[in-house]
Amino acid sequence: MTTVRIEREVAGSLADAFRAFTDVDVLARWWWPHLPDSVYRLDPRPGGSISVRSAIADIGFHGTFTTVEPPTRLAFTWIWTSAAIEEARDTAGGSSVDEDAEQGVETVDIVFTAVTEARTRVLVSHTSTDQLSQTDGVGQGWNDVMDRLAALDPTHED
Amino acid sequence: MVKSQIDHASLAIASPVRRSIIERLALGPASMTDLAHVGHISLPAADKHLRLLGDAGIVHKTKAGRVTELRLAPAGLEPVEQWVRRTTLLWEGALDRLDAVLAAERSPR
Repeated sequence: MTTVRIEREVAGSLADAFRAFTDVDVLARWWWPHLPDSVYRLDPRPGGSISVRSAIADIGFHGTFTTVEPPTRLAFTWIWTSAAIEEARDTAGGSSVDEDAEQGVETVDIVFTAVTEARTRVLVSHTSTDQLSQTDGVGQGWNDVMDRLAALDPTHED
Repeated sequence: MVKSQIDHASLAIASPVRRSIIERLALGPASMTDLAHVGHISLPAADKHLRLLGDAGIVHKTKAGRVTELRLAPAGLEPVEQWVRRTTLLWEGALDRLDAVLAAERSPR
């Protein structure tokens, strides 16, 4: 599991910053304006979905909101989507029962903090989580590694 | 990039002991004894960590006579590094644009 943390102070109130992530029209103005064919879908409530996809660039992601606490916190899952990646997986023989589990679900957690009335600190924690199918060989190999890691738990090290 | 490779490599560097081993090997090849010393661990414990790092393709083992030499295979860390770099760039770019859009919105014009 690896986490990337990016912190940035942006212009705007706490409410402005939060709205920039939860109002689809505002999001479209800054997320991927350089990919003008991007399609944005947002349903900012727990269990609601989020997705952005550019067909021209063959890149996008989709996920589900897990935390929506206006105006201070947002969290959602993140699964990259790309026709090229899906093709590569298909040719690798990845017949999946649970596609999300096979693809690897990343998570994004965003915390908004007011610096002043007109400035807001945005802290993004993007984590690559370990999610693999339990049914195929890769998953099995992965479980073995997990077992071996558990045996190597630093608190039990000699 | 195959996802499981990323998971495998990131798991391998998830332990402070293994990170200290990788940092030592980044300076050059070392013996098992050197690495046990660096990680403040026993030889059998070092062997376990090195096997895991070997499985992840991060560390290569070679025998030079009676001495086992361990060296870093930098390619083993690439999936994690690529993911970190890509994710960092994604958010830095996005947050720069967010700041610009919000600043333009607030400007008195």
